[in-house]
Amino acid sequence: MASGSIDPMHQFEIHPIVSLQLGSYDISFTNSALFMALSVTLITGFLVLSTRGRALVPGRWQSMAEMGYEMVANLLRDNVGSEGRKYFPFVFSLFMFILFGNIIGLVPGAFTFTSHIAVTFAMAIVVFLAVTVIGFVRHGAGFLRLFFPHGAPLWTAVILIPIELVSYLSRPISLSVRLFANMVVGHVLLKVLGGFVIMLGIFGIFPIGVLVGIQALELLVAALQAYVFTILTCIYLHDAIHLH
Amino acid sequence: MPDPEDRSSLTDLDKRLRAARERQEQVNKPASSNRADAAGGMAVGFRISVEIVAALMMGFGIGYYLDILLGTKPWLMIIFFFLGIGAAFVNILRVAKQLENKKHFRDTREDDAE
Repeated sequence: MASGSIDPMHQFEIHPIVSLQLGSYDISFTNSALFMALSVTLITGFLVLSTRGRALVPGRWQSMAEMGYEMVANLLRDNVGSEGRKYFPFVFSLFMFILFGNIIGLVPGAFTFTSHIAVTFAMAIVVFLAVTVIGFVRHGAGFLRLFFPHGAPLWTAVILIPIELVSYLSRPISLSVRLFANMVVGHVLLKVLGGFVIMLGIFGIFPIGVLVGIQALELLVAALQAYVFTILTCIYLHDAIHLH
Repeated sequence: MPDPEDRSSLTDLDKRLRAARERQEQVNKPASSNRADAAGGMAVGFRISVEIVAALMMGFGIGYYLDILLGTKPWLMIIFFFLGIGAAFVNILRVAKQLENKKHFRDTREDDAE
């Protein structure tokens, strides 16, 4: 392969597998959609098959599923409190979807759907809207107290309320950009180092060593970013339920 | 009235447990992989930097589009840019506080456990 043809951004290209058109909208089934479907299938398969035995003493697979369940349940309990129980299915689905998306993306040749801002922003905006709606449903107009720190002098409201408002509105951006940027950076790094391996020929053995390390690091980042997305969702839920 | 003898033996046990746990931690510390620490530190740094960028983008974006909507060309953009800077600081402080709380919470919970 010529060195000029190594394109680290090629892996993020979306191409339709089944072209579909709805009115003026392109709703093709793309490679991104394929991997989303794959990850949902894998999650469902993993959870259903591993808990089928319902053993009192869990086997390997069942204890993996239980670990995931307990981790998210503890996150919710620690960060939101017992009122957070209701939202467990949503938060758990979010966590598993992102985790599997990140990890499947690390398989060579696979597509990482979490490396697209459209996907991560869609998830972030759902969290943002859900949290806002939950806040208003639980507190009514009292939810607006979130935008004014308790005990601050009244005249500071002129500055503080717009600042808090901007801060609140920046949540979906920071939530989505964090996941998206982490995934893009990691995959570009892997591809660029992979390019070095090919270009250097026999001396490519050195970058391969680095590549193995980076791959391990990326696996960690994949799990960590799923965790961060989940914990931030929990923190936002906490703000909506308890108002600081 | 509870037996004072009983309580002192309990606090003694507590003290010994704590000392043992600290010793264990000292032993375990070098073994815990520094790669995980590095990734954790990277995640924290990334979290904070993204928080700044997001707040600035949001402030700038709101100002820019309000300007277009209201025809007050540069002013709202400038004002909201500075509000974005303020929001960035608020976000950073909040992240720092959360991390601090989490650490504190984890420490106390480890003390409570067992």
